[in-house]
Amino acid sequence: MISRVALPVLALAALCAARVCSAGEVVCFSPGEGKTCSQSSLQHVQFKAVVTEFIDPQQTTIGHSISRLMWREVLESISDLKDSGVILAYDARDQLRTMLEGRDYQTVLQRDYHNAAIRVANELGAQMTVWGAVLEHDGTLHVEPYLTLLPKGNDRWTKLQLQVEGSGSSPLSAEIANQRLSFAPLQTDRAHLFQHNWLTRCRLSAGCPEGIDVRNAPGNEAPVIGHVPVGSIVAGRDMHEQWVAIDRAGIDTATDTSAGAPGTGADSGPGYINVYHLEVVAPAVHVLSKAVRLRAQPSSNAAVLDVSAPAGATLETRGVQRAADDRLWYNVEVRGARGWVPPETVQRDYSFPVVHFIAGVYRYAGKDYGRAIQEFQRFIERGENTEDNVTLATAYQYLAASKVASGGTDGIMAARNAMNDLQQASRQTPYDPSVYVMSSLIRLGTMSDAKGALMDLRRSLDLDSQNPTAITLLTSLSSIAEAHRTDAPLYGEDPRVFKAEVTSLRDRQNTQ
Amino acid sequence: MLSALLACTAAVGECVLSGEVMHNGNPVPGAEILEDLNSGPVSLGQTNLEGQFRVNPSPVPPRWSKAILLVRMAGFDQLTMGAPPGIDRCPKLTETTLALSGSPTAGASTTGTNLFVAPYQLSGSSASQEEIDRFNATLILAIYNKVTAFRSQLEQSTSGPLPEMGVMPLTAKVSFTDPEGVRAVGAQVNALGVITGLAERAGAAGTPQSVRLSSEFRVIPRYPAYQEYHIQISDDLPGPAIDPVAISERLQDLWGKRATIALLVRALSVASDAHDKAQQQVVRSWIIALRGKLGPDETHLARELDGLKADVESELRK
Repeated sequence: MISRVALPVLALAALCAARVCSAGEVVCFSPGEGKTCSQSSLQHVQFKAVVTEFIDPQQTTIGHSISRLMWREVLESISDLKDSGVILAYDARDQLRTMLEGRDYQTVLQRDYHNAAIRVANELGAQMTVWGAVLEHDGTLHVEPYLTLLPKGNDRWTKLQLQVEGSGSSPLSAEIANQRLSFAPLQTDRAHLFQHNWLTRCRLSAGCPEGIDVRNAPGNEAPVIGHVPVGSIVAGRDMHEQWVAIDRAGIDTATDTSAGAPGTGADSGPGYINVYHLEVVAPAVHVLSKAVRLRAQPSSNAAVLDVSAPAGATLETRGVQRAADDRLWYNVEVRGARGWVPPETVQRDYSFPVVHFIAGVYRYAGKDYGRAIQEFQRFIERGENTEDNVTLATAYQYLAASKVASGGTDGIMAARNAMNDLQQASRQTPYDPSVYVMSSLIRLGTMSDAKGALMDLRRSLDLDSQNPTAITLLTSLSSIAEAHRTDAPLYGEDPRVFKAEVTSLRDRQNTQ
Repeated sequence: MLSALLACTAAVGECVLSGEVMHNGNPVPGAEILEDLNSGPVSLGQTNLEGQFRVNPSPVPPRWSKAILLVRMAGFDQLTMGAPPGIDRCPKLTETTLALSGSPTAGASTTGTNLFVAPYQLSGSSASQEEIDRFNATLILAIYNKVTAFRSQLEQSTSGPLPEMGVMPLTAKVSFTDPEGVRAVGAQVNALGVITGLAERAGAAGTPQSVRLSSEFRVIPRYPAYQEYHIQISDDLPGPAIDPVAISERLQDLWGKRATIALLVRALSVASDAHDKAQQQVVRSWIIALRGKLGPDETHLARELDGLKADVESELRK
């Protein structure tokens, strides 16, 4: 079952598909057709991202399709997550232009990049903006995604907060500093990007008794040439803005053939389905931590086959089916045997690796730390040779924070794992003070390693004596040391030694 | 100021519009020429390396008094012009020299903070001149994207915005193997930096092919505490295609970081001359932010930044 919170996004997406989504309109996915996009969208959804159209300086129009594909994948990555949503923004009726003081939205993004993305997200009340640029050269597409995070005030989702001995009711915190990220460009061609299998769905309030409309051309005004049943898989061949081109073979044309039956002369080209009626079928899934037994049918009650998919295996999907409980089961093949695996046992891949990162941030913000760990790990696996050092360091910091936050029954082990991730982060960005602040905090909060913690804090202040998070942590530790009146060890250290170290750091700070 | 020098001639059966797009006397390669027939702009073609174009616009529709033509180039204001019908209703321009009003948006910085890209020299290639022109025009777009994205990313951690940077083609002839010549030309045009490069197709017929690439970024502004470590990046791109976007991806970090260093060297020089402590403090934050993005293999850049950081902190203590 797709969560109730996610439903408004989908339902309103369908609402948009039913009316004419002319170019120049921002899709707010908010109740009421007349609502403008300068108003907040998904107002009752706590955590949301906005996907904007990709900058397309060569005016190829492919940016429209890429943003919609990205939007669908992000939506699918969080469809089970409470209080989360995704907005797809594109300019129409000049609403964004008005919001941006008369300037063209693409030009503004192209000039101001993250600053413009922040303005768009602020206007739409979102915490993240997913955007990008696409360049084409001799048939090769270079799709460059960017992500802008907008933590506000006391938002905790870019922070790790730990209740530390002596800190009273105020937890100490470290922040994941990089909030403007560039992702490795995806080099691909149209065919590779858009030749997906899609699963049809119906989100129209009136239902889809005839199935999903297939049109003669990409556009709501184009004649309907037939229908595809809800829940069936269609093979996508290409995309034109929000329209997915599919083969006409297999389309039920019995209900309306006035626009031409399949295979008849000029009408033998592709049919078109609005992407709002489609879900991307993952081309492959990865088995999570335990081996999973295949079932004969997509149901928990179906017979268990004598075949297991081993943990960590990557399996090509042969099909998908939504079960009665609305969960999406995957049909896979293991050693020649076909069977079904449920969604909670596998992790799906996305066309854009950045979607793993985005999904990880959503999960971290939603305190679903187990899935956050999976998404960041998968992002790192896919990107360790391609992503830039800053992006990888940020992923490692989120991974570490997720592990510490998940804690579980063995907090020390989780903290040690997290420290390994932070070491990876510091290898990627050895001059970034924020990595060392987080490391210091974890050493104090979960490992009672005062010596290591102060060494990390010293390192961060060496790199930037004015780093606000490091100074805040130092000030807190100074207060804690002052207030500690007993001879009992403080974070595993003699309290006098600890106090002397903190004082030395403070004195040095004051002289700078 | 972006200007377009346009001329229109009509041939039997088709309209031909040719001209040249200029900026401050320099040709603008890669600018796109479009027509708008009321259903949205449609691309007609791009300017070549000399900023020249030759396109085939549609005849001016009946009852229209003029056609609408556009010139677009990343970083510049869009140029919109009316072209009345001439022979066979082909659009023609009454003014052969057109000047844009308004300030350029980014491609040409208003503060003189432009990077210049010398057209890459391609050898061992059977590419036509047109392909080479297209390569160099796309390269400028790609570099602009990379540099702007990096600057925007960096601004999250700085106490003041970084100046806009533009990316311009360098029209003066320079040789990749003549660094002093590059530097002299860069200083003449008040460049922040000059990017030069060589691309050579390697691999005999029947063997796996690759493109051997050498690129350099030279920081042009001078400052006593700044010592540039000379870096030449050599790389082999797999496959026979010389793809400017792939090249820019390989070099995005270098260009973004070097461009920022050039920017802060110039800013530091200005702030130091003016004894402007507030600005020196801002530049310090740029240095810290940039250094925080460096990777483990960038010790040379870290040393350059450490030198600048020590200098500005010393200035701030005075």
